[in-house]
Amino acid sequence: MPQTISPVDFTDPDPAQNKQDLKSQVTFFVGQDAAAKIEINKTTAGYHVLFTANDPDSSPTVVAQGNG
Amino acid sequence: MRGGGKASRRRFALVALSGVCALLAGCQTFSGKPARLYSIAEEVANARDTLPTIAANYAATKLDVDRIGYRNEYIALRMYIIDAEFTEFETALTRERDEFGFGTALVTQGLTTAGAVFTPANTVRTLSALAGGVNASRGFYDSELLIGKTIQIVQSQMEAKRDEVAARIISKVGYSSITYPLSAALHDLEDYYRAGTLTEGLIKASADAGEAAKNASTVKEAVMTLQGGTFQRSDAGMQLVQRYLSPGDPKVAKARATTLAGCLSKLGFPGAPAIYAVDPSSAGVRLLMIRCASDAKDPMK
Repeated sequence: MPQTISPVDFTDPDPAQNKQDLKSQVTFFVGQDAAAKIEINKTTAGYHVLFTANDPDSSPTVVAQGNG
Repeated sequence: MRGGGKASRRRFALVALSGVCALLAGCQTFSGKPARLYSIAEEVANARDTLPTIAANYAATKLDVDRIGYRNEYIALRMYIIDAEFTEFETALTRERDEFGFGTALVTQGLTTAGAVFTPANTVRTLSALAGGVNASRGFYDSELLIGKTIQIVQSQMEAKRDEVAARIISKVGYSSITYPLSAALHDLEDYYRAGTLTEGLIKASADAGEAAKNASTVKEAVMTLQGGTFQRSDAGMQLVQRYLSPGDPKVAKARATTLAGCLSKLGFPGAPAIYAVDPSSAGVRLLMIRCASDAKDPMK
């Protein structure tokens, strides 16, 4: 399945705030159906995170419609 | 006493020489295969004599169960002949493959080892010089090594292809003689024989390499990486979109994600809304998502 990756750096100088930012984004992403993988790497400035999501199915969706 | 000492030194020299011969010249110490009760030629000749009788019995009998039995016996015997001939062919191929490169490596190793063991200065000089000569010619031999590796790959492909065809034949031995007559079996046996040829090995190696390259290319194409960047807590558009995509009710969340995905896809953004929602470089896409939500009569608040 095709996927899209977004590399995001969390570099707030306040470690507690930086961790809070990371947590908020991870919490949001994990709650999404399309979420496939999160890779978190510790760096000297904070965290380097790779968010990976499955692309939506591009096949056409058939929607049944009533006539009245 | 002196004479006995000289004789014993001579004996030692002979033993040492034969040892060096074994080390340096690659004298054969083992054949690499166990002895056979019958030679392959004998086995093949015996099998070849039996085949016409089995074929005649197959043609003569009217009972399907007997015909199945004769057909299977015929198949098994033909496969055995092909296997026996293939063993000979593979052994010759392996010998051909290894003879040059491996023999040269052995001589080089033997010479340098002997150079370290024999202490007299002249012997060391001579052996080291010989080893140097052999090593100097390795550049030429390396091309032989490349050919050797190619043959090795083709050999493994031949074995794989043979296994594939053998499995196909074995899966048909339970068929009736009407659906799988001897003539059809002969067709499969020809495939089995061909699978053990260099040409078939090369074709399979080439096809596998092409398939692997195609798969690698597909996987490469299937992953898209956005520009990304540094997370900005103050990005109001990001906060708005993320709130919209996580309303609490999973059904609403799914419906919104589907709507936005459909809208973005039409605008040329094939990724999931979730990835654009976290990506710092996708502020413009988030603006489109706000408009898409508004167009769908479910505006972001």
